Amino acid sequence: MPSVRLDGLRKQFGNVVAIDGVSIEFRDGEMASVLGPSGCGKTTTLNVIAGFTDPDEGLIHFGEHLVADAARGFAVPPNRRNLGMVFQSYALWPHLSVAENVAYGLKMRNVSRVARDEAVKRSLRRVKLEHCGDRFPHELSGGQQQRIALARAIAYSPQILLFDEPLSNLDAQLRDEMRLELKELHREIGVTAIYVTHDQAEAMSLSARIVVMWAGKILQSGSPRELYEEPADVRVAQFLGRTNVFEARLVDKQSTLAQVSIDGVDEPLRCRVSATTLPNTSGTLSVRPEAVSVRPAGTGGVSGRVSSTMYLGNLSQLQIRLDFGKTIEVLELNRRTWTIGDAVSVTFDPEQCFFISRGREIQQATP
Amino acid sequence: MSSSDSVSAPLSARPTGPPPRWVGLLQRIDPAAIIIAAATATLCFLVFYPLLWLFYGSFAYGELPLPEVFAQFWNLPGLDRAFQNTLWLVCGTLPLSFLFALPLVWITARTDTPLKGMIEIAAIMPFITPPLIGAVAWALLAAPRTGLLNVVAREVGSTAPVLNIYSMSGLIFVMSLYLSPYVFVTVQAVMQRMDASLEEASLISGASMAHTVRNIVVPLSMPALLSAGILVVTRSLEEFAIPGILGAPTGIYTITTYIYYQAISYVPPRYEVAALLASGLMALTAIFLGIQSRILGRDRRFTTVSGKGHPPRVIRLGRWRYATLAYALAYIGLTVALPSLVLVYAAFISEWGALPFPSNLSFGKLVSTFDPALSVRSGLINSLILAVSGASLATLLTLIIGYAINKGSPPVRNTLDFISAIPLTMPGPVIAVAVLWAYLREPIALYGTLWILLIAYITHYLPYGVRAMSSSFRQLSPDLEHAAAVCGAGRIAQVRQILLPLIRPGILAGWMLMFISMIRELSSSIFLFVPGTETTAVTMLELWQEARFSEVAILSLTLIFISVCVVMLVRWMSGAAYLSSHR
Repeated sequence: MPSVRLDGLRKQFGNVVAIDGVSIEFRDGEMASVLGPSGCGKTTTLNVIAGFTDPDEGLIHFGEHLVADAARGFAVPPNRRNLGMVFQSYALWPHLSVAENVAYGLKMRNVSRVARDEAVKRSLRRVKLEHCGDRFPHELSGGQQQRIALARAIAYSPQILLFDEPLSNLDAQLRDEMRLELKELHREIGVTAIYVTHDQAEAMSLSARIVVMWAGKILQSGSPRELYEEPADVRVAQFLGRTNVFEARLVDKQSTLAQVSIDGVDEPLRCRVSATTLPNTSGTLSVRPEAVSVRPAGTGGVSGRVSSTMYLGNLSQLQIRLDFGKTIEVLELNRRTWTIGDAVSVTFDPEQCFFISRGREIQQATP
Repeated sequence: MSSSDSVSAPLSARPTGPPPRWVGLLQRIDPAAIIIAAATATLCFLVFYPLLWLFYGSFAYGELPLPEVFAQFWNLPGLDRAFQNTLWLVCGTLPLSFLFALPLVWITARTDTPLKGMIEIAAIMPFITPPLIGAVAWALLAAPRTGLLNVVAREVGSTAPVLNIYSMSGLIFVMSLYLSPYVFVTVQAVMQRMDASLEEASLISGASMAHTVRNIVVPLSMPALLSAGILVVTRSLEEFAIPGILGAPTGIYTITTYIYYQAISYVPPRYEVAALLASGLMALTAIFLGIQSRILGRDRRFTTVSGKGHPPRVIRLGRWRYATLAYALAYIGLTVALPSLVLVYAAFISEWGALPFPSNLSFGKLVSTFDPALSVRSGLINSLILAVSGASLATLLTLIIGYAINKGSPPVRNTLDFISAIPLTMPGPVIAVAVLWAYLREPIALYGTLWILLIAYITHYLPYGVRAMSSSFRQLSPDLEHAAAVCGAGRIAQVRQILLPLIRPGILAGWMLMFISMIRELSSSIFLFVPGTETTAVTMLELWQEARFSEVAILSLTLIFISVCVVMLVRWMSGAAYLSSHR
């Protein structure tokens, strides 16, 4: 299976820069997500990889093969790139039966009739819809249609699979089921898969690696755990789950453990930090809501008052207004009941606090 | 790890160099691009070549110096009258067509009048019966001496004719009847889609129904009203058949009929005058259409009137619903029932103008009309040849242009959109005069052949075809062809296997529209035919002038019959297409 490598990709529509210097390699056989808010350039990136849009600058390689080189005006048309793609809208052809839809790519490859029927049957079986071949797309439910779209994309065994928010039109429960199935399918066929989504839960549960895009640039890429626990950028921290951020200064650092000071809190707080962060830098301290422990006032830590409570069943969500003026969000297992106005002391679990230095973003953008 | 190792390998490790330039060049030239280029060239030629000749003919024709052309122009006998008549006709038709149509809009969109569905269909029936046939039917009904209504009145004891259709008021009346469907369709679309909550919000705020209509409903339907008004103005400016049948016999010329009777068929033909008048007519139409597209394009405010929300409330009329029904039936009587009946009556009568009719009935005319000695048969064959080949060629051309408009970059799209809209500003007589100038002489001399008619037809109906085709393409998500591309289909395969089957109903509808328009075409054919290339509509006008009313009626019915057959055939075919995709 080939890798997909983008070098210095740029694409502009009128005055809008959709992709602003993206370089990244999706490794062979890997399932990677491109995650970002709408309008961040993730779909354009996918369209450039597929060949629907030609880049203004940059190179694209599939493994050893050059696929697009903007400087020379060279671009392999999409139908010669040997890709499979699953669309958000499913894009099943309504005038063709399910089997004809799935067989289309094989027909384009001049596969003999017998082999074609065999391959159609195999991929329909893979998505558990082997009995639906004679039906038409409109006779199937949304979830079934999406499976057919998947079967169509894998029928001719492409080496690279592209997914453009394929689950966003399904309801929540179906989405969870399909996630598991997609993951399993990927393990079976082992293609290089690129999955574009704006849903962080989807990206985290599906992929081994997540690439976070923002305003046409890559902010960070890494495993879901790395992104969650060691965000390289405040925006990454805020986009993947909720977090409380404080302006902070790094005062002491030993390898990946550090002490930071924040305004309004007298003693330094302990947290984790990236090994490459320079000492004495200023930046942001990210404190996940579940990293905060709340105790009755006077037990040490930062003091404040409960300003709102929300009972969520397994958890409670609290807003606590700290005495120096900042309001933080807390997720707590329901060990104790708080009411609005209670005076409390909060402490932060150093393992779940991460200092993001301001210098690091620059370091990131120019690899 | 995180960032550093995930970002790409160094650029120097590029294993395969790009292929040489010419490979890329060859890959870029795909057959689809060649086809699109050819279609675009054809479009430009069809539109611009006659247009250039028309302007040349208006201002630079060598035989007379320009000041002399102008001097001659101003001294033309009757031209001032023609201008006046046109003005009266437009000014009379505009209010009257609204007066006919607006109550119908209200009845079908907002009331519980019985038979609403039938009324809605009947209201657009005049689209199927062309103005030529309408004018003929009304002349048969209300000509001062021989009109059936006047004959009946005389039998009853009236001494003077009650109605005279050969007058300005007759012209306005028939014109309004046949243009009111345009008003109906345009305004009704808005009224029906208007979100009821907009009105309810006004009522809840304490406004009375009258206030709500004045402050909410009328302003929101303003673009539709204006655009319908402009449609009526341009249509009545360019109409040829109605003033040709009802006005010309008594010397009431409008600009279009003046161009024909006083310039083109004048001996010797005054081609410069025709060109100048045609240019003027075109400029006038262009101005009106420009205003219309500004009105429609300008205000996003009015998009509150779209799709979503719930349909408007139906007003319960109680007993009054029979009054509204009576109005609707009277309208249908005037536009559809009476004209059809009189045509059928005229077709089966041996001597026109005589009563009582039972003894007068005969089938003889049905046979004699199609006698080879009359040019009826060849006219019918010519019309069929022209309509089938014209609609088919125009469909092919507009299909490619419509595709290019949807797939092209914004400048390409806008340019093609603009060029293909130019013929909208050219009414039939204008197209005819331009085409006459362009193809009368070398290098492309086609005068006297069917080709010149074919070219005029295709040019005339291009805009309608382009709109039908490009909106068909627009309804398809680009994902559908992207999916095909990813599966390995090239551009031609994408179009043939995915796009064309999906828009087949749209293609058929576009073809049908153009076929029906072409089979009855009069306003440019009359300028371009020579003996031997006359079309059915031209034959009808000639027979009319010879007072062969039964033959004209039979031909009218034949045209309606053909149109209805084609409509049914196409509906059946689209139905079959629908079934095959939604089995």
